[in-house]
Amino acid sequence: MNTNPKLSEKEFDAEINKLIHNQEQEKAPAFFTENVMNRVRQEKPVINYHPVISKRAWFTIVIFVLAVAGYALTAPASSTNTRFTVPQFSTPLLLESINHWFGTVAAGGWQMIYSSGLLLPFAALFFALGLHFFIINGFNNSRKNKLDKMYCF
Amino acid sequence: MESNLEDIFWIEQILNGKTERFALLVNKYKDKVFSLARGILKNKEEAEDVAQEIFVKVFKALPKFKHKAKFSTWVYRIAYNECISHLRKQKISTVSVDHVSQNYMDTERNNTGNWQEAEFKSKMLHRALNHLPETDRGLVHFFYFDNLSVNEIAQITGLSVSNVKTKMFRIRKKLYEELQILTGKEMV
Repeated sequence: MNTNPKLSEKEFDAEINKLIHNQEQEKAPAFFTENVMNRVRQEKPVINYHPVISKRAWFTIVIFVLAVAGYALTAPASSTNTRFTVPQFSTPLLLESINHWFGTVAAGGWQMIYSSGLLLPFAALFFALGLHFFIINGFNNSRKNKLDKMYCF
Repeated sequence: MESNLEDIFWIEQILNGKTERFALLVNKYKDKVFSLARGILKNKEEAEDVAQEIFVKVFKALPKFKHKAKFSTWVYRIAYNECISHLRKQKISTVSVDHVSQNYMDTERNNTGNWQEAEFKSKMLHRALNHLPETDRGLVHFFYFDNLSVNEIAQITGLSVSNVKTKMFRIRKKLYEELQILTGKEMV
């Protein structure tokens, strides 16, 4: 014979909630992690390859360079056209020859770039790349190293 | 929030080739995943095999995790789908409350246990839960054991929020009826 008392729906609901919350959650068996890792090690490592310069960075660099090139090509021409000269060093004969050759090539190349209005876009490109590699990447790497020290043990 | 950031950190490490870091994620979620598998599949050995399979699938799918939901929600989704598809492959039929046989009712109704005893209550609750369909057992586990919100449950199961609420209402009703049958209690 069942002598249990009658319960209302509300009391039943409270009982069920209490019962379920008092249940102990099942624990995974011993060596579970080891067994999983044995299986995982047989799989190929999952690696996400990231480009050195991301798409967003490329987009920014190109827009910046185009903007500067646009300005350089459309800006009014300067009245003076100064020629860049490589500073002269006091060196032995061989080095003097190399220096002279380098100076000629560099001056010629420099004049070509300067007079064609490509100086500023080139400078902008190098500036943008330098900014990306040395400052932004450097910042990200230092953040990762900090997190590494916090979580790796 | 902090837990999710930690998970993302470990995932980044794993995706950079440090496979051994995956053990940390396994340790963190193994009890929850195993408990869910045990709740749905009922058999302990089967639950262990399926739980291991779940983690291997999680590892292989890590590059596809897009951080749109919490990592725990994503793991639960894989675990839930894997348990359900495992059961369906085996074509295990669960007894619905609506189709309880007369024999079952007669034998189970003669429980002379005392409702005041915790052990008796726990036993009856387990029996009642075992008679729910596997999808409903999953919902009960998420809602009562893991205290997940209805939105999270909807994300895991792929159901709409209103659908989850409706199902939870029906599940509660079924549990009442099941416990009545098992314990002989009557509603006032």
